[in-house]
Parts: sequence; structure tokens; C-alpha cells
Amino acid sequence: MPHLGYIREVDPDPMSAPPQHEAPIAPAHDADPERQTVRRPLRTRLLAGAPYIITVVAAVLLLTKARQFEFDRVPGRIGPDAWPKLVLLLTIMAGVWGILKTFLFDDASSNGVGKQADLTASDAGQPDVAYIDEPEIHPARVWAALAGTLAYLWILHYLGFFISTFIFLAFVIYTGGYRRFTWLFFISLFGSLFFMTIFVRVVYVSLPIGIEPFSTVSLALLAILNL
Amino acid sequence: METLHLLSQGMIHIIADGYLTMLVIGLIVGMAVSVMPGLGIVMGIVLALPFTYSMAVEPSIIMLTAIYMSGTYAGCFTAILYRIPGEPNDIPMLWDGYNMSRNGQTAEALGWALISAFIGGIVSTAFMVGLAIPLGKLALQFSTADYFAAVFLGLTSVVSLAGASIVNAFIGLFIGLLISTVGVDSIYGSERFTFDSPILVNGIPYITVLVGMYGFGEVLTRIGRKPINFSKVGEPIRTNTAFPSLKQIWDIRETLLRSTVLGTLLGIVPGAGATVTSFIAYGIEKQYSKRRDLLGSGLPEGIVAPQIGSTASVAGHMVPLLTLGIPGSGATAIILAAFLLHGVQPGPLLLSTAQSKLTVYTIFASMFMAVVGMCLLSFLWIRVVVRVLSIPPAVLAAVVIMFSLLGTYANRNSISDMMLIVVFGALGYAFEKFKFPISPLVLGVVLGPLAESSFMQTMISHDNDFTAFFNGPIRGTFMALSLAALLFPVVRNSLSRRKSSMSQTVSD
Repeated sequence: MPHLGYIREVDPDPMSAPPQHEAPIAPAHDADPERQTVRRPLRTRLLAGAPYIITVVAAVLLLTKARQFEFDRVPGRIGPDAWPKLVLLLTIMAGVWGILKTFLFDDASSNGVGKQADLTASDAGQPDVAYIDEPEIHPARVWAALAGTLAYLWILHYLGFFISTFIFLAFVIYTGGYRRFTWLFFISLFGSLFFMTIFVRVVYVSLPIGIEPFSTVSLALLAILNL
Repeated sequence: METLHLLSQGMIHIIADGYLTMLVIGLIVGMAVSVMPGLGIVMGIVLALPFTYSMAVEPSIIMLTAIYMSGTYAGCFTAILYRIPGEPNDIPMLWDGYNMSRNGQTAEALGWALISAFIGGIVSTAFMVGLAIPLGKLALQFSTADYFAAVFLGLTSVVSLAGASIVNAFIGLFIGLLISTVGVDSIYGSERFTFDSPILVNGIPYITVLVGMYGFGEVLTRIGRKPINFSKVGEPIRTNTAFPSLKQIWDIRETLLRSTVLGTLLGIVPGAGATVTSFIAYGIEKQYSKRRDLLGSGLPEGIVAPQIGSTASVAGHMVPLLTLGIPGSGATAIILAAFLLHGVQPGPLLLSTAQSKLTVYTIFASMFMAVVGMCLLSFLWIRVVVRVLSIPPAVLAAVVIMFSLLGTYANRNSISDMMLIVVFGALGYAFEKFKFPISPLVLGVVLGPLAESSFMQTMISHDNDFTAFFNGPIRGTFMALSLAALLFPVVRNSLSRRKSSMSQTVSD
């Protein structure tokens, strides 16, 4: 199974630790009887239901698209659209199931929106490790990292690998909350040189050198590093 | 005898051809990523993948398998020493491992963890390697319908073990299956879901999906969260290891036996990774151990059970991958991808020629050596390994993003693939945010082409008769197991609810 993101320290006190009182394999929310009686506000339920609504809408649109696949139909034989259509129908059914759970039965186990973080671990497939995910507190950083990466891919062609990567590393490290600027500068500088060396020397990849005058810098560096 | 002969040949192959270096690098990388909360075994394997492009298949798989193996073990160091579980499967270590440490038995706790990893790794690998040839022979008799049923079982098991929300797991799986249909269809040559985009005509490489979801997506998730306080890492600690005596080991023989059997068998079940195995092994100890009432206060059984379970699951996952070509976890899905990148399709045919058989047994031999190697390394280098925690999270995030982007770029020298990384990274972040499990999606992408081709071939050869998937002993068994896998979460949830309502009634 994958990561679970940040893992918070857990109270090791055996008197309060879960194994003292219950089987560790029990999902965390199952012991929460209030779950079935306390209804979440409509706005929260709408947010929780959004992924299912999007899934159903997207699946319906793709189903329309699947009907337009071009191929030579052989009578009595299923075509290349059969499998995608089957999967899309199942997707729609699952999405509708999710919508019903969210709006009719208000089942907060379907996703964690509007519910405390104690559902997260079991929903991610980690039974009874309810306390190990930290909540998101810097959503702006996430969007900044996404936008920064897209910008990096755009400037890569113009500035070349070394200069773009230097800027990008500095940006991501700063966005991540690191504020020791001298170290930030040197980590970005040596980081870009490190990646350049590793990927050219070990992985044998030709990296973008950029356009003039940036390509001159890239070529000079490649020559200096004997790459 | 044949197995032993092939294993010895494999070991000679590893030593003579210099693959030992890749093994040690893999072990070190695996330890480093598993010690660091948030990096994880799967991400470690993803990040190492680009370095295998220019290697032969054996050293590539040896390195990735070593990361997988040591990744299930080293996270216990920080759980025992600092109360920081490196991996989710190390959480049970907090209850007894850290408490032993707090009781002044740090060296003993580390010793028990080491012995458990060793026993779990060696016994399960030996058992599963012994099963490889019979499994391979059985798989050679598979028809396309049998293969579809086997893949179907893999997918349903992953869904059923994906946690409380089976709906989310199903949606993830279906999205994964849909992603695998993008591009030109292999039977009719028809373009599907390409939207006239040249990027999508050749399909979406699953490397892109894996790296995007597990690598870039995870960084996005982490960057928005509050960082963990690692201040205790700088404090002076004792990291020496004290081995238990033979008598002490004999005293907990039942725990050793239970956990090893459980870890190995659960490892075979697709979706039951190290975390699930570790928790179930601990849960079983909690119910059947002689000293179950004291479990959680710092008993060796509380370290032995989850650690054996975690390490034993690796062989349980690797052997079905090598003999049937079916991965059961995110980690083995990436190892499958590494095979395919080298033009090798794991499966029963891999055991059909002498040369490919040697490849398989070289990998098996490396698993034994990995178990021994990780125990030796941990015995010597715990202090060094835990220093990884000193790396600032922001720097780590930047490094992971760069490896994710460049690793994908290196596959086809395509900036478009890097764009797809961003798309799947955002999807991975959304999955984390809305608590959709990633593993079903990833396995859907990886197993989708196999599922579709076996489905199509069966339907075409049986005149669109759906019963073809059920009327045979092998496929019938797989389908029955699939049904059981689908019913399992429903039964589990209703039992849990009944139990909680009963306990509430009692308390009222």
C-alpha cells in the first residue's frame, strides 16, 4: 500500500492505545454509533457528493463518446467499444451508489468531507490507524506547487534544463516553507547540477538546452561537467 | 532439488555479474524511504525506476525488490526509537516497540524486530519459491477465460481490502480500467478516447500514472499539511541491537509460527499489503497470544507479529507476479512495469526456457540475500539511517517532484508525459483529499489491458457467451473467490455495526 502522508505521533500509552480495548483490525468509524444519527449540513453533503456527481457526468459523456468509436463491425462479434462501455456502465452504477449513500443515507464513510480526520486511514485501506493523517492547512501551497510545475514545464523549452530547474527547485523549496535563503540558493544550485549530471550520465537522457542566449549557458555547463 | 539447483545458480549469477551492488543500493534506498514518513515504499520504487532504464532486467528487478523488502522493515527503527512510524505497517510497533524502548529495552526491541524480519523474510521466501514451479505449471494450463477470472479475482480483492468505502474503491478501479483503454485498440485498431490528441494516440503509459499518483500527487498532499516535528531526532539515542536468546525465541514459537503463516498466506491475496498483514498479525496475537492481556505494554510478541507479517508479505506478492504475471499491490505493479519496460512479460512462460528461468531464480535468490543484507545493514547502520529524518520536508518535496518529472521524461523523452504527470498528480491529490484509495486505480491501469484482452478473446471464441467465465474448475474457483472477496466487506461492515450497536446497548 502507498504512503499515508504525514504521520502524526501516536500516544504510546498502552492504556489509551487502541489494542488495549479493541481488535486493531476494526475500522475506526465502526465504533462510532453517532455516525448514523447525525446528519451533515447540505453544503457539506454537496461537497462530499461532488466527486460522485462528477464521476457520473464524466462517465455519461464518455459513454456517448464510446458510441462513436470508428471500426469495422463484424456481425455477431463484440467490438472495441464493448469493454469501455461495460466499464463505464459500472462506473455510473458506482457513482449513483455513492450519490445515494451521500444524500439519502448520509454515509460519511464514503469520503471524509465534513467528517473528522479519523476516517481517513481506514478509508485509505489502513485499518484502525485513524490518527495518522494531518489535516491540510496550506491549500494555497498545493495550488502554488501545481502552477509552479506547469510553469516549469513551459519555461523548460526556453530557458533550458539547468536554469529552469534552478528556479523551479528554489520555488518549490520556498513554497514548502523553507526560509533559510542561503541554503535555499545552494540547494537549488547544486540540486540542478546533480539532476543534470545524474540524468545525462546515468540515465542517458538528453535534456532541453533552451534557446539563445540560455542555450549557451547550458552548453557551457555540459562542457564544464564533461557530460 | 531443481529449485535448490536453480537458486544456487541464481546466487552465483548475482555475485559473478556484480548485481550485489544493485542489491545493496536497493536495500539502502528502501531503508531511507521507509524511515521517512510520507515517502513510502511505493514512492521509493517509483523514484528508483528511471535508473533501471539503462540496466539489464535482472539488476533492475533486484534493486526494486530490495527496496520493497527493506522498506517493510526499516520503518520500525523510528517507531521504536522516536515514536514516529516510517510506514503505516509500522504503527503496531508503537504499541509494544516504543513501550519496550521506554522501559529501557531499546536494544532488545530492535533485536526482536531484526530477528522477526529475518525469520519472516526467509521462511516466506522459501515457501513461496517452493510454490513457484507448481504455480507456473498450473498457470500454463490457463485459458483466456481462466486468465480473466484470475485478473478479476486480483481486482476484486484489491477493492474489498481497500477500506471502509467500497464505492470509492470501485470508482478508482473503474477509472483505472478506463485509463488503460485510451489509445489504439489492439484487436480492431480503433482509436478510443483520444479526442484527436496526438499525445493520447499511443495510450497513457502506466509509468506516467504510477509516478503521477504516487510521486507527484503525494508531494502535493504533503506540501499542504503541517510538517511533523522531528526535533527528537537530534537527541542522543542508543541504537545498538541485543539479540534474544534461543530460549526467548522458543518461548514465543507460537507467535512466530502464526505470524509467518499468516504473513505468507495473506501476502498472496492481492491488495493485502504489508500494512494489512501487519495489523491482522497483531490483531490475531491480541486474540490468541498467551499474554494477550499485556499486549501493548511492551512485549516482544507485539513486535514480532507485525514485523514478521510485513516482511513475509513481500514474497507472497512477488511469487504470483513472477509466475502468473499478476501484481497484487502498488509496489509489485511498479515492478511489473519495470519488467515490461525491459520487454519481459512476467508469467508462466518466464519459467519455460532455461535462460528466463535463471532470471526468475536470480530474483528469488536476491530476495534471500536481501533479507540477510537488510538485517546486516540495520545491525550496523541504524544510527545513519535514522538521520534521513533530518532532511527538511520542503527539500524532500522538491527532490521527489524532480525525480517524478525527469523519471517520466526519461522513458520517452517527452515533455507531454511530464504534463500527464501533473494531471495524474492532481488526480492523486484529489483522491487523497476525498479519501479514494489509489491502489485500485493503479492496479486497474496495470491489469486493464490483460483483463480486456482476455475478456475480448473469451467472448469472441465463445460467441459472446458470458457463462464461459464460470464453467471450468479454475475459472469457477477464481470467480467464486471473487464473489467472496466482494461480499467480504459487506459482511465485515454489517458485523462491525452489529457489534457496535450491541456494545452500545450493553453500555446503555
